[in-house]
Amino acid sequence: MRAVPFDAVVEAAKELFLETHFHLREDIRLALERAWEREEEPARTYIGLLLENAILASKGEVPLCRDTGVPIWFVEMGSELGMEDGLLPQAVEEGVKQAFLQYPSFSPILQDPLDVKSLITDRIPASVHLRIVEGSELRMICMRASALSELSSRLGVLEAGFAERELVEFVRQAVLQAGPWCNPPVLVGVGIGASLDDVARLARGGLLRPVGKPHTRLEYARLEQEMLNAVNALKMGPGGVGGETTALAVHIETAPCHRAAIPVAVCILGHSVRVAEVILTPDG
Amino acid sequence: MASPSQQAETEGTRNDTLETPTEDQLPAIPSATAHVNAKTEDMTPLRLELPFQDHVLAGLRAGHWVWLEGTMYSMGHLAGQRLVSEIKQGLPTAIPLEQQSIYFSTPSPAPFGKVIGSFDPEISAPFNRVAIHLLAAGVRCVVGYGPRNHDVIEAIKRGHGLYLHAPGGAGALLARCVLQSEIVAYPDLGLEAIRRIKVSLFPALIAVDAFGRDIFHAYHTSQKHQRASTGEIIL
Repeated sequence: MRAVPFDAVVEAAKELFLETHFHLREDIRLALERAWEREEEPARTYIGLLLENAILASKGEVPLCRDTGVPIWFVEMGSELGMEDGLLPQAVEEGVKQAFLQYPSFSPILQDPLDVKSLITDRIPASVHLRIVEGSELRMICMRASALSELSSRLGVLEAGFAERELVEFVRQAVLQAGPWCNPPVLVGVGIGASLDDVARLARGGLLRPVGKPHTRLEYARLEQEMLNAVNALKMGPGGVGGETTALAVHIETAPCHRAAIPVAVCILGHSVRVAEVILTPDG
Repeated sequence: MASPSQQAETEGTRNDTLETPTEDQLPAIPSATAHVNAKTEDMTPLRLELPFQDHVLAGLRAGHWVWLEGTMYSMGHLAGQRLVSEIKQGLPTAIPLEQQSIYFSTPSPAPFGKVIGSFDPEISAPFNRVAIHLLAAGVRCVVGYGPRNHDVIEAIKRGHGLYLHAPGGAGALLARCVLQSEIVAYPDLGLEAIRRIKVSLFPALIAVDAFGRDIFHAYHTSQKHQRASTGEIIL
């Protein structure tokens, strides 16, 4: 067993948290550029402003978006690794706390979801998806989930014998119901299978895949394209002002599930896609 | 019933989108082309001085971009509610409202050496009631994000005002457009306090113009985010 120092994880979490304030994911920027080329006014100007915003924010002074959101952590820990001096969620939480000291930001978290007075502003309880993998590396990914993204997403369970068309319709409906409030052009993650609790994580995990990289299996890649066409046929456009680009991509992730109940989750992320990644090794 | 992808193929031009009501129970698909024909009309953004004069309204149509120049007041939910309660009680309001423009947003904390933090708009729908009261009290222009309900559009029409849709999620860009910012009322609300901001080249799309034309007309049936107007909810 090799050990990862607690402080190294704290430092990594801090850096990731700060980076996701300011940096739009590169593939999203490129996808927006492509969208800018095919859009007409007023959507074209809208996308132009988003691109300009990404350039300004990347200077590291003012965050991309007012709602810096809640960080969701995807952590893959090598099975040969252990933690020294503390637990992983503690280290992540400490890193975020230190980031708050270095750069003042505001994430309105309720300690008690039913009590609007229980606001905590100086730290964010860690939401960590931990997976043990082979090897001796620690891979940490931080993704920001804004309130609007959460409000736009939906989850359901389909009965056995559903048609593929229903799946497409489920995704289309989710975006339609979310309306302009989901901050289009959006990135859509679709989880199919697993269980009720895991399917949402699958959907969120789909958002980690870069735009322009289809599913490795051909039939799912085709389904992704079909869903994307269905969503873009809504003509909601950037910011809901009308246009061809309502979604930049739809990414499907699947997992084995009970044959009689197929959970489906749709995770919609607005255009401010903020994801950062780091790999730690025990030797530093 | 044709599948959505088939529809996508059959839809030729953008104007066709108006004639494709897919299912009756769903809100129709919006299209900016309902009001603006991009090919025939000059879409160059206009500079709009705030507070604006009546005569400029004739040239401002829903679907056009404007660059705002001048002074606005920004506020969050709690400040809006407090202001409305002052109006309802007939008290003198904390800020002048006559002819003014209101930007619904709460900035993120200002970084060291900056005028203001990330400053993209908040969703307007929870501010619907606040907006109606403010428009009735003389406010001419409200700036926010997303569709507004019928009552607000009527209030805008009545007051010959404007509703502007600022780019959501463009916080760094909009912060750069703010030259000066000063808290002028309710400092106890912290970030949500009312600020007087001086802006330049602040981009906004005219969503509802003085004649009540609305680029989001398809979304009014949706009641989403209306609930927040009753409680102290911060998004």
